[in-house]
Amino acid sequence: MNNNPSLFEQYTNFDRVNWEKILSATYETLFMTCFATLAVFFLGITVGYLLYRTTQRSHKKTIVAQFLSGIVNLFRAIPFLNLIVLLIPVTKLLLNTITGPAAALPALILSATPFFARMVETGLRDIDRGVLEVADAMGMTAWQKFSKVYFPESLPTIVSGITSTAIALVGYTAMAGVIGAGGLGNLAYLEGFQRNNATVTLVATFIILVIVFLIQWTGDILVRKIDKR
Amino acid sequence: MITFHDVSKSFITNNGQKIKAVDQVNLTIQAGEIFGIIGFSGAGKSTLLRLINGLELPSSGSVEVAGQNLAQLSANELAKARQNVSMIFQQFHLLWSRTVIENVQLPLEIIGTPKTQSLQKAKELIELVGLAGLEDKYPSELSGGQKQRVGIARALANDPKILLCDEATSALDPQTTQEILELLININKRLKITIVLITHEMDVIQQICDHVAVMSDGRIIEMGEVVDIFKHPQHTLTRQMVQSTGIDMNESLIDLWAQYSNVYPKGTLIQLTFDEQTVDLPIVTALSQKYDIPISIVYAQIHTLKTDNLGKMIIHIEVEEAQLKQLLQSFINAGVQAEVIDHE
Repeated sequence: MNNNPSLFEQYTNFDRVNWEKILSATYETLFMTCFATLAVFFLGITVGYLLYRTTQRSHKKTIVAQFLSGIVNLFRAIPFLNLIVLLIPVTKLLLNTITGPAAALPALILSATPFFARMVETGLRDIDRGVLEVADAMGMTAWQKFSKVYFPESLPTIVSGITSTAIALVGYTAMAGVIGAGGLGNLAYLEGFQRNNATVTLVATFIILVIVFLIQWTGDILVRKIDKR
Repeated sequence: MITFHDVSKSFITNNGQKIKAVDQVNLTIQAGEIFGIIGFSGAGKSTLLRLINGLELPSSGSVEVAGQNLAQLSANELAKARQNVSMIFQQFHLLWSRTVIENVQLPLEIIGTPKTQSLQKAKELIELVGLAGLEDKYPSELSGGQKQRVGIARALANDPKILLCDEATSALDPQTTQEILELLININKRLKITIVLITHEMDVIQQICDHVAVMSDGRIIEMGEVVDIFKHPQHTLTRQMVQSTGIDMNESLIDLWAQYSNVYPKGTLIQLTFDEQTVDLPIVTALSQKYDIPISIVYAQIHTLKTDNLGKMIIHIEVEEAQLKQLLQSFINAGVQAEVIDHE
């Protein structure tokens, strides 16, 4: 065996790849991404709607609006790596563990929700004001207005927003590897970096790319399908 | 059906200024009629219209719609009262995310009409407004006129008593405007709906309205039957509006007069107004022959109002003062309104 393998050999040494580990890491990445995306979807729409409603003219500069906007800006400003470390005690309290895919969720959700909420807010702002007048003139309740006007009329923005958010979350899950959250990022760090196995890093990177492209592709198709403007 | 008692509405603008959009308005709109409100932009028409469906509430005075004072209703009662009043808009304001039929069904969903019933109703309305076959199209696939038809069908879905039209034809070309106006008349007749419309185009008033109110700076400066307003406009603004119908809208009649006096530097310009009884009689020719006066016709137009036909004519003559008086008297005796608009 060559003690100084060539660059090509370092990246193509598939004998050293434990495919079972790859598979379970892929599963962990998918779990974290999907679960976090789902949670961020609902939370982000709620926060985004509240942001929009509280900053409308009649409510302008209310305490609620300032508080909400402040919180959102604060969490958007904290780098993800800091946030995940910062949240370790909270995570321990909530889940009784600080490792594994579930342990990464609080930080993933908390960092992505403000990001997505701002996109939802933008989508709501873009709705034709006249359509909102129609809703009022028809005597819609607040819930009817949300479900029949706000949500469907801003859906393309929401879908493209959640697509970007999901892709960002895939990146975050890789970073979550530092607290031993599992997943492909963690695997690349443990196997690829610490054990000097470049092939595993390459395979993990490739799978992450596939996941990202799949998300983008699905999002684009969905937006094209629902946007009838 | 609709009564305004001393209604005023003020707004505070962003820089703290108080603006009176509607100022001391009194008016009554009868059930089943088409009532027009005309004025230039900023005259307060839009605010007046929104006082009828409670989107705006008066600062003072009271608005009564179908026997209810809107300001005294609770939020729930107001939502219910709004079911009686529908609205169509200049920019249509359809939901792009819904198909034609889904847009029409929207008001029915709000009041919880069962699916099959609302589908049936929506289909009938789409048929009524002449869009059969386009049920599953999206608004972005329709022309402006078709979009307004969807707007009308949507507005009629919950069987309102009143239809408010906010510059409903202003974004449409003349041909399409005609079609939409005919549709509105048709709806007014068939469904006995009271229609209140605001516009800045006298042609719209002329063609479909029974009564008209002229607004300027938040006040109603003139109000009455369309025929009377066209025959005897009192206010200068109303005169301008009446005279602008049929003439190129960009030219006010004052400009036209200036042109006429270039062509006819001497003599007298007289404006004649013929009503339903006199519009088809050869009065000008008869008088020309009787007094042996050559009469030049400068301008002539027949206005087809909803109920009446009205003729407007501007003639030019060069005669002595005494003969002029005699001629004017003869016109009046023949039932024609005659008015000297420019003399020497």
